[in-house]
Amino acid sequence: MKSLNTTAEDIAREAWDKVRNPNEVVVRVPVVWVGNLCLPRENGDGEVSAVFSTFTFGDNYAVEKATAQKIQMGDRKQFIMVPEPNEYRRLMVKKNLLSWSLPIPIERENGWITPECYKRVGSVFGPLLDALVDEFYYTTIITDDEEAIMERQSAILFSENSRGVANACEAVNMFCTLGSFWEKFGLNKGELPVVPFKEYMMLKVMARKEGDSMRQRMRTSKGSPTKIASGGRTRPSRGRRIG
Amino acid sequence: MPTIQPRESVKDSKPAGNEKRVDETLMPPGKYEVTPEHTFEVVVNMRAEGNRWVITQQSGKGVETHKVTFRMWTYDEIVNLRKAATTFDAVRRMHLVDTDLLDRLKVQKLMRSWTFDRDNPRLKIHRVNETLTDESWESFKKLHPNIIRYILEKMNEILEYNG
Repeated sequence: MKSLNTTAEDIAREAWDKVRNPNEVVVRVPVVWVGNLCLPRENGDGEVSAVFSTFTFGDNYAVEKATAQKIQMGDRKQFIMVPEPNEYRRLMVKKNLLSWSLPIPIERENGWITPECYKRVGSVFGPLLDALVDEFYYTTIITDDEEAIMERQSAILFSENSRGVANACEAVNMFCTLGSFWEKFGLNKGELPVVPFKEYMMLKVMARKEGDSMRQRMRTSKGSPTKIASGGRTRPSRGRRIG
Repeated sequence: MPTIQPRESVKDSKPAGNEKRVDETLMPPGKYEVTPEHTFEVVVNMRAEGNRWVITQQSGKGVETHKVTFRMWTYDEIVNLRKAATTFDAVRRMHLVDTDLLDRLKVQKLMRSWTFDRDNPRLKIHRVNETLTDESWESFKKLHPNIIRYILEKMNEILEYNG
């Protein structure tokens, strides 16, 4: 829930937090006091923030396994395992909530909030924590809009005569940048954010130049480079390349 | 032969029965934690028209006013109640929330009092372990459907849509 008075600096701060510390996600919810009730509202005059650890593949595996229910499919004797969505969200809090701006200390043990601490965490105003969990949950899923853009851009990117994608979305950008930087220079996701920007740009320009020249070479090379000798002269092979 | 007996002088470290934990006594619930005082009221203004009741916005002449008090729900209660009202549709492969059941659970868990029992003892509500009994839910259901719908709408305005 982004408030209406979000400034460019707020957005930059959020992006920087994400790059600087990829292991943490900070979420903020505007709130308003109605009598003695604290409710999340878009035009709220206050703000509550919470820091969650980034929801990883391992977190999802553990939480999904813990909340899986056996569901019978129709009359058949087939069963599927489905995670219970409400319990899933409760475990997300227990597993990933690190700190928050509420005056309730978060105590953790072995990577989880302690039962005594959760007793207090779970007793805060429901809509407030629910809104914080909503914000955190949105950082863990691919939205319908994101999926549609990925679908469209990957169709262009992987087409036969592709020349890249203009205005690439985050997924395509990450796929191409991380892929090429890892392949060429062995830089991984953790190391890339601290590379000086000028050097990053130089490498990116050079990678683009290399790609352009490779494409150019493929376009200008006519016929097969394999020559067939016959009667004192050579001619290009008419054989078709398979594969 | 000596036998080993438990020492009577050693007390159990766990608090007995009603005894409160020391940390809870020293650090009572803060302003963000739900206590029985965190309530809100749904005010129902209604006017009799023939043998039915019409909900009105303002109180005035011929308008009867009643109040229903609910407690705010905690995050843990949200999860528990939604979980109880959620089923998995195996055909469509998606979770569905039975909102009617969820509303019933909210009323039984969170309704503290109402004034409809002022002149009608049959509408008196009773609670066991902080939960409205099924008989009291039956009393709730005795109201006209439009009054019930209005109460549920106003309750959900706060609980689900943040007022």
